[in-house]
Amino acid sequence: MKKNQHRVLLGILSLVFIAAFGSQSQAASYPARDVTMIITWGAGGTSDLSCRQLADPLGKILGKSIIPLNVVGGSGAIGMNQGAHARPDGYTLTFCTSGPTVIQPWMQKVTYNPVKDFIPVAQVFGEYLVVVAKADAPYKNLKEMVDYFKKAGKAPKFATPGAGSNNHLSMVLMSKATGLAMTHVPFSSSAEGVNAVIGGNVDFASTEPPSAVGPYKEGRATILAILSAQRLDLIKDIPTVKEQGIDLVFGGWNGILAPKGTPKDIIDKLAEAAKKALENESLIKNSATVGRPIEFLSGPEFGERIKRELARNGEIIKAEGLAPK
Amino acid sequence: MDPIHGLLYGLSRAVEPQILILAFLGCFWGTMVGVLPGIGPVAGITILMPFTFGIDLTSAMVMMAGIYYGAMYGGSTTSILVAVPGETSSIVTIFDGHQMAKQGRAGAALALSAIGSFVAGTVGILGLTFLAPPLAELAIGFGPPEYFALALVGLSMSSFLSNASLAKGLAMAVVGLIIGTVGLDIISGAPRFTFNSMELAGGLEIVSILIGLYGISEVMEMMASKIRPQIQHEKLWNLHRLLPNREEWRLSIWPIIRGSFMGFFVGALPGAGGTVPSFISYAMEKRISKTPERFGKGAPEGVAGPESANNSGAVGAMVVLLTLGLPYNVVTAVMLSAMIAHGIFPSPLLMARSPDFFWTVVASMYIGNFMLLILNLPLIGAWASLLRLPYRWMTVFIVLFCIIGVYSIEYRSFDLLLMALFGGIGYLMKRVDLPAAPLALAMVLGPIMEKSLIQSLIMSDGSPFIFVTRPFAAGSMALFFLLMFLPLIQKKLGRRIAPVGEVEV
Repeated sequence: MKKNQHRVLLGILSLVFIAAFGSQSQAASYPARDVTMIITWGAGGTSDLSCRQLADPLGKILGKSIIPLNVVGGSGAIGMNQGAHARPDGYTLTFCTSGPTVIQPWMQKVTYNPVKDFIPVAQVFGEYLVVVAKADAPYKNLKEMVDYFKKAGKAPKFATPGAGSNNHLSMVLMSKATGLAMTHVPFSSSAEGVNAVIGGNVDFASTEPPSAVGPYKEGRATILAILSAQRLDLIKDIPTVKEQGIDLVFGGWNGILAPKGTPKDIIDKLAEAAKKALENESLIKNSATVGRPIEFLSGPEFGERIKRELARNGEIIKAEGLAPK
Repeated sequence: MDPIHGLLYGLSRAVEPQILILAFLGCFWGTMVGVLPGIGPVAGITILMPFTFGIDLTSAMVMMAGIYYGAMYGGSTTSILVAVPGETSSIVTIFDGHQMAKQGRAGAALALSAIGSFVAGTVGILGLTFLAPPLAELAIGFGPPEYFALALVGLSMSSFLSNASLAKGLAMAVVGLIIGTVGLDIISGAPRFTFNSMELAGGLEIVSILIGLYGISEVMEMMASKIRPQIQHEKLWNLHRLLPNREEWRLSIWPIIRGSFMGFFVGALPGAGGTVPSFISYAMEKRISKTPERFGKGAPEGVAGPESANNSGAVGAMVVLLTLGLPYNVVTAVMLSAMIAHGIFPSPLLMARSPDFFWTVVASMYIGNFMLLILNLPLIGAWASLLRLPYRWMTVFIVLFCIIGVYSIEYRSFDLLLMALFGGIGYLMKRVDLPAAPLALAMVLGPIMEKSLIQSLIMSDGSPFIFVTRPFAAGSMALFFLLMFLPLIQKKLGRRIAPVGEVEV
């Protein structure tokens, strides 16, 4: 009996010792085991695919596997919450999208602070937005569309993948920038919105290149403009909104966040590996085909962008009364 | 490429060893996830999703399609043998399939559903081959008003399904509608019934509710009842009893044919997939039957019709995916993301732009359908032996698979709690004889209806006339009113236009 107790005690002591020793050498030997990367959206979705594309080369560079974990719900807030309160040892990271990072904190009561609870590791991809209309619409670009509806004295109806989405907020700003009133018709996915355009049920849709390029290339839809700062290679002929004389740049992104308190050398190591992973050939090829631009930003730059967009979205959402009561 | 040439070309590709092997693997795995309650085609495909990134898209798609329609074949097995649906699309098969098993006709019920599935699968694939292009053109103009009208018709069907009184059926439909509103309102983003819980804000996972309502409650019922399980071993293993008798054939032939055609067209409608066609087929067979009182008591038509309809419905959903690129259910949504990941954007011009891909997938479906007939008809016994375990072990395994299935959807323990809760509710509902089908259907159709109603009214600036000025919507609305007021009209005329069966009015 007594002997057993001793054994148990010895066991516990050695575990504590290993744990203590382990944490000391953690930074140098990181990663010693596989790293979990939380995705706040479901398997098979756009950000899930992006994360999995990145996870493979990133894991190879780090020498351990990156295991994507879909933690779904609350428009991404549940995954963000889990990522924010994970152990800050570099073994649980969050693959974040702009929605739960810079929009949802204004739309619902969230249990994480996107700025204070996380250390930004790097931004990896951009998620551009485009404006799509039916192929036989009487306008071929955004400027013509705005003029057309102003002349007709009508408010165009536009589709988005949902209220409070990046797409929705961008169109609120578009309406302000052009002085054209627009009616929002929320759908639940980008594909549905594009189909509503093609079927002639709405006048245009705010969507992402992956769901717009197919119908565009087949001549069913026309892309009026892209909302990014520069054109996208996949649809090189589509001018930006800015080129059409409307002062607006808007877009989403994907990045990696680590919980607050993660050692700085681990963050640096991860950021460096992420930058290298983005040079992976198959990742570059896949990104080009699906229209997902690779856009690396360092941790501090990414952090600035998060703060800036969080403030901007807060203003729009409050001014327009978009947040549910 | 015209359909005949396309098909011949596709067949030449589909017999290549790699594609043949993947088609077989898909069918095999599909049948297995179909047989096992809890694990459905969504989980089945998602588990293999990472694997598909490593192979070319055509092979990946062949395999995923195999899983999808394979699950439609296998789904009936547990419905018939243990009254637990393998998939949502096999829920209605319980009503009569399980009754047949209780009467020692389990083999016949399984054979009818396998043969019906084969016929329907073939009809569906022929439809895919020849009707996909014109269908796509028709459906592309559908907008929120059409979706609303279609969902409304679907929901009104549920009142015809319930064996309980119409009042009970409608009451359960209302409960289902309320459950469907949990989460964020899509227009304003306002939280409804969420009680500040982020889990609830995402809405309730319908699959976990269904598995609780149908799977867990059934196990509870099995444990609570003094009667031992209803798998009739000796009778089931008797091979000559596997074949339906002459009378069962006679009764089933037309339901199989009707189910095959109806399922294909309904399956191509939004949100329908294989589930709604199976519900509609059951209601339809019951309504046109001269002896509707046999339904729910082991009528072979109630197995043959729905099991055929869900197979051609699955193919119908594939039509929409391959032509419009619209995922009308979760399974095709997963397939769509795989296609996009490989750089193929499905659209009406897919056939012209990637004939190799399109026709190989279609041709492999013909082959897969034969594979499944062989996998299912002579080997039904082998699949069912998965369920041959002793009763006390069986309940454990059913619960285990339910848990795995529910957890594998989103990896959330919250969904398990939800499943347990609805297991308890489902059990109580059985005790007081409240029907679960209208609740289940309303839960799925409610959000579609609400969303499309609001979208329609935004489109029309608030005018409800949008539902009558658009021909297809108007037609569907007319059908809805006909369905709703049929009993009243019949009463007024003093005679029955059609047998109303056991629906008490």
